[in-house]
Amino acid sequence: MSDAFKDSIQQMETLDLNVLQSFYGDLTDAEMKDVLQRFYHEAKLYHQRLMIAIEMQNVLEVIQVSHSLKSMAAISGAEQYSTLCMWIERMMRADELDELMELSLYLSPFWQELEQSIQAQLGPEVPI
Amino acid sequence: MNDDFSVLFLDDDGYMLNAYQRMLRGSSFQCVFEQSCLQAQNYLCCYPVSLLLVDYLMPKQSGLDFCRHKTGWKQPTDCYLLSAMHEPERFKQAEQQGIIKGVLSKPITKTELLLFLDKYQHKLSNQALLE
Repeated sequence: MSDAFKDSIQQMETLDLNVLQSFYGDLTDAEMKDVLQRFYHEAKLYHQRLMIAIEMQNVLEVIQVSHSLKSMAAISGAEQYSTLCMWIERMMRADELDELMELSLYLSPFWQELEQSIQAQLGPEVPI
Repeated sequence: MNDDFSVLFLDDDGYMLNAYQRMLRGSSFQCVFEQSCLQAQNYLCCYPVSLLLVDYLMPKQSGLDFCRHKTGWKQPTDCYLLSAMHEPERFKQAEQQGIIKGVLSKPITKTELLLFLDKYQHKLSNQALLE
């Protein structure tokens, strides 16, 4: 991947609650936490599926799961992770396996950052 | 206003369906949410639906293919794709063939969705008045 791409994706927001609010409208604090929790639990399963699909080079599964994750993450304000999934889907469709493997190296660290950001929003009383 | 205006959302992704439900909570629109093509097909055959909003990329059947087969539907239903894919030629062709009325960019915000539904309801009401 180009250095410009790496720089731009590194600078993206991990979790932007203003984006989440813009998609859902006016959520109360409790509703926002509920949405974030639901996102976390659903996306975690997809994230694990995507990691396995990439490892197995299961083309259809990579496309479908990264496509779903892209929208899920976008609507939840996870811009960085959403953009990564968008590129993974794009590279898989283009059969650019080298680029795909390079992108996949970002998956775990970006997911961990997202996990920490979600936990920070939920507070210690709501362990995820 | 057309009191019979009803909308069916079809998306295999439960998280997105839940998001649409949350966005429309408290609105006056009559909405139904289905997660499988089979359930949506059954619903469309049993109940009148004014507008179908269907996800384009679904694992078993694409939204576009679903809209191709309108046999047995209770009433003519306008179909829109919800898509994060940029395939202008394919979508344009589908519109020209009358399979869909258009495409909405996914993900869609609450404001965009409410505005679209409001405009569409008005459009159908005006059409009904002219008929």
